[in-house]
Amino acid sequence: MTREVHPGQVHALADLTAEAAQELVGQAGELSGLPVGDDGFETGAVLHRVAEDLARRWADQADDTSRLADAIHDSAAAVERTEASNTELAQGFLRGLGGGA
Amino acid sequence: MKLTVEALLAFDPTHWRAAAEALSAVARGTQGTGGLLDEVAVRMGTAWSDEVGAMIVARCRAHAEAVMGLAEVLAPLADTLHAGADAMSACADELRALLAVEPSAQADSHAFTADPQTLARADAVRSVTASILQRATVVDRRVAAALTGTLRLETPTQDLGPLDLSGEGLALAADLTTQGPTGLDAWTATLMSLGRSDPAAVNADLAWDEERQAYRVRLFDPGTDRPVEEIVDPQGLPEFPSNAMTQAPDFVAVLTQALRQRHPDLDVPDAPAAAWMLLGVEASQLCDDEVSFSEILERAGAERPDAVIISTKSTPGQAGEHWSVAGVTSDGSLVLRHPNGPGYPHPVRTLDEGAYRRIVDGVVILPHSGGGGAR
Repeated sequence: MTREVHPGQVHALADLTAEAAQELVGQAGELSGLPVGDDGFETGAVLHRVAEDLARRWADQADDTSRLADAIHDSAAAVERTEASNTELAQGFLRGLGGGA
Repeated sequence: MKLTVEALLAFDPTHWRAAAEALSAVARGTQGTGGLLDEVAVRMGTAWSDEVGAMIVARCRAHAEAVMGLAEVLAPLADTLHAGADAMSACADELRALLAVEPSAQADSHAFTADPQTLARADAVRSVTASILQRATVVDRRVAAALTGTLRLETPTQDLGPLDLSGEGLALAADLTTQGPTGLDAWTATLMSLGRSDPAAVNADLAWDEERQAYRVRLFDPGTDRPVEEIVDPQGLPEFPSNAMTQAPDFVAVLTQALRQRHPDLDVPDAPAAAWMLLGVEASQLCDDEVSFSEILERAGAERPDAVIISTKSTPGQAGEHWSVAGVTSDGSLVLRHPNGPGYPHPVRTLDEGAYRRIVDGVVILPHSGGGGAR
């Protein structure tokens, strides 16, 4: 069975995805360190919460994207190792994302 | 939180601008990350071109869109902070300009003096200062609300509701409120006096219902002679009667809205009628025609002054008016405020004993809700 897949390229793209996840981690760090000031204004107090909320959103997205990168790597490895069916590959990919089969 | 002169003068717009710049920088970075994931999706379509590859491509594209969506949240936050910094800086500059010509604007106390011109000037300075601080407070609250609203963050519960119903907040509102186009000068003058002298009485009538996100207002119904409750939706408040400087609703606006919900066309002809509807005090309990000038001076000038409302006689071409007593001068005159409020001609005047005898038609004194009955 010949697949329409180039595992080497897929691994490289998974690495790019992991790179994107790392960028998001860095951005989450920048957001948590947002200069908020502490000057007695309501806006200053709200900015603390805004920074926390944004940093959490970016960190969550970074986790999701990191899982995507791992799932892509695993799928490419599965193609290299076995003659798994497309159904099994798809189920394995979804499991890797944490979304079930 | 209500801003002070010191806090506004210390406002440093670079804090908010730095936060805005940081958000913009992260937004650019995140857009780049989204672009990277989009590129992964495109190239994945070539690297893995069957149905499994199509599923992975779809996931990569979904992530790219999610990351782009994150970036889009940041621009409005940055814009809000820049606009807020501009508006707050304008308020701070206005205050500095006022202080340059009138250093007394920074004073905490505003002693009444005998000289009407000095009194009028001090009153104007106080009003302008209060107006600037109130506008700055509104700017601060709006920026904070816009930030939390954009992110749909839950706003912490405020015990006092959206309006500042503390004693200090009510006193400030009493000084800045107006009757607007309602013509309810007796009603408004009575509320001005209560707001300044007896905030507990106002709080007994007006409370914020956190569960309903609305005001609960108690009024005494002249139709039934019993207290009734009206629910006032803050979203439905009219612009007037309101704070004369900001045009924002205040406690007078809430109570007037409740009155209008209950009785759309009811007039409140005099202070005794207002006292009945607000406090349930019968007109027969109010000795409004036998109060000496010296007694008014004593009650209005006390450490805890009573709420005093004065009505003036009608003259040809001029209907009688209702004034709120705001204090006493050092030489024994009364300081009166008219419900037309700041921005109108002669919203404040003094009244000595001679003028009192000539022009006053009636006086209503409402002692503190904590002690004694109404006079």
